[in-house]
Amino acid sequence: MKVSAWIVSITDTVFASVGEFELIHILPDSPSLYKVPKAPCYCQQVFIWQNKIIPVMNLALRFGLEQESATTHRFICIFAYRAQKTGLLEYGALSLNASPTRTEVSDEQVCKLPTDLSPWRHYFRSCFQEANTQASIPILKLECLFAYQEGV
Amino acid sequence: MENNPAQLVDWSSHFIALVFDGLSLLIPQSDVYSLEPTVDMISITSHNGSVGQLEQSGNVWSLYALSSELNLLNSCPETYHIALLMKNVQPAFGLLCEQVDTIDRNQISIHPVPTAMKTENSPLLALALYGNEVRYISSASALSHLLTQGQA
Repeated sequence: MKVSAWIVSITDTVFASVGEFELIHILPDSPSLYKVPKAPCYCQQVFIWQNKIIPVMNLALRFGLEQESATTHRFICIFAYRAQKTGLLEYGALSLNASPTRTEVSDEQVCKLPTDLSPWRHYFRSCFQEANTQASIPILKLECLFAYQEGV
Repeated sequence: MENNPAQLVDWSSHFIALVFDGLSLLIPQSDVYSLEPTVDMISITSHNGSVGQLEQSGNVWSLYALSSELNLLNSCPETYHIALLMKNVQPAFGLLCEQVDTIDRNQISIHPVPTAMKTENSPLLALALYGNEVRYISSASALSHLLTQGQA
């Protein structure tokens, strides 16, 4: 059985994916971003969306990867996930250098995590080999990614 | 975010908004002893990071200046003309700023700092939506911890 997923670019060569219904909105314009003092370098900004304050994470910085792309235009995508502790719906955003793309995934495509991301395996559910590009695409565990507290 | 822990805190009915270096920081009015012009400030260079002192009603307040990143400045910028003297903390201290304003509790909606943005040395207790803008909420106690830990 195949299911739909979204592929997001972490860098020009490293990708990750989320479930079809976890991506809920791609912002057409750059929102007003507010820098939160003392926040970690990979998640320093928030914006307002539907009367909620949404944190924006840069996955390349989060995973210590070099951002090769010189592009200045970044896409901000909003994701929904269930908080592990409360089970409530929460929201977080990723700053991406390309718009997400759709793909179809089946259990037969399972593969090992890319070496670059293996230290961060607790942030991924699994990994699959994308049919067209043959790239290894890990599946993000958003509820872990947005729940980690640095130094706390 | 329906179960908002920031809403459970018994916030003051008014906040003082301190503006400095482009940042607007809200402090519960119940934590504020008084607002004073800096004309009577005695400039000092201190080992504890304070940039001056002010005597008021027989007590001496150490005065601190912060950047928009909430880092201690080692001298008072020329534009910081107002001292906000805190109460409910020992030792007493004051923060220097450019402008102050009063905001009613019902003018803002209070949101938790997103989990991924929390750090051990952050004095931010919550974020606030004020119109179409984001503000940052702290308290005398949280700022005192930041200053005394030397982590600013």
